[in-house]
Amino acid sequence: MTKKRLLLAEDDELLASLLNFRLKKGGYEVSHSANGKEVKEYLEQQMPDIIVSDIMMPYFSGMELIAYVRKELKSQIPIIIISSAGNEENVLNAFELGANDFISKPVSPSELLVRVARELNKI
Amino acid sequence: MKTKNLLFQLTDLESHLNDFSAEKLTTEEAFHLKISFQHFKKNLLELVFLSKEKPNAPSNTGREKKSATRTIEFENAYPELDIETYEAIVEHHKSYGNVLKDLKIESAMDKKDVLILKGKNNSNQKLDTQIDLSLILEECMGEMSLLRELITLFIGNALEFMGAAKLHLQSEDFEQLDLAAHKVKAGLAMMRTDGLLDLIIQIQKGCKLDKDPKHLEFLCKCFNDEFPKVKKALDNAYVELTNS
Repeated sequence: MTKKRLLLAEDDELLASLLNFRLKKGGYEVSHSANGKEVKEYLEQQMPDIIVSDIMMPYFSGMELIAYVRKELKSQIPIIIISSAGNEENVLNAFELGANDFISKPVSPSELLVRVARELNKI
Repeated sequence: MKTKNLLFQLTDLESHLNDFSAEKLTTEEAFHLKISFQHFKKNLLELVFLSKEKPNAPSNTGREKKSATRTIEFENAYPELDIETYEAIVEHHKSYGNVLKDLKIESAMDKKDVLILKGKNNSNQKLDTQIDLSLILEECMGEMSLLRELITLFIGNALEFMGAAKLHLQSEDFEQLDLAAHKVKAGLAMMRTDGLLDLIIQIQKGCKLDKDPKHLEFLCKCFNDEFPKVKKALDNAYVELTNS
């Protein structure tokens, strides 16, 4: 069975390392980008099955990423947003732009795995 | 002494407050002190300017009435606010927080600030650093090498923040300081280093709200002082885990 491709856009190395490890263990083919520039370059070449992205990222924010995927690339792939606690307004904006789900920091890798699986099962 | 003079003298007191050394004042005390002082000064400002306006113009607008009510509330709350009290404050300015507590300054504070203070009190008790890595190891599915990698990244990030904070404080670039703090925050939460996390939250708040370089410098110094203890606690916790 082909592994599902997941793009993890997270500039926090610590969180990214942990999530990368757990998502790979969870059976996903994970590509990690630490900034929006890398994310854009990746998306110009290929489209993953799902994106997990932090809201606050250098060069290209999570919001810009959602808008880019939905409006420019015209893709409906699931996007899960990682937000800091107390960032509710951003989360609402993310949903308006087309995010499918969100998870708050500190992120529980197990919870993220469940959310990723749920979004992929919807397809 | 007239209330207006009292207000002027408060400015001197404020400069003393800004010069407080980190060795003598804990983060909690400094935070309490700063918020209490700001409210104290705000209410005093109202008192001064309103009493100045009183003889000439009666309060007609809703805003003035509200302000007047607040001032009366303030006067009722501190009927003894006079030169003796003020001198007592100056005399005991090293324990200014306690003096203000006696004056029940919290009753004049917004509920939000009181909650922040209460939260601060609770979280600050955790500053005596003890770290439990077993939960993080669980998240790493028992992989000690990953845990070690996370600890190394954590230490690197914290050191990077300390260096960046120094530069941003020098240039008073609060936006960049806020970003640097944001970058280290998730790691602190992950490692459950509550004392440091608490300081970072305050630094971010300071960068967004009052942008007071002295206060921010103080908070960063607290972070720098606290970090070696956290690092040591992390190392101990890691050794404990490897031995168990």
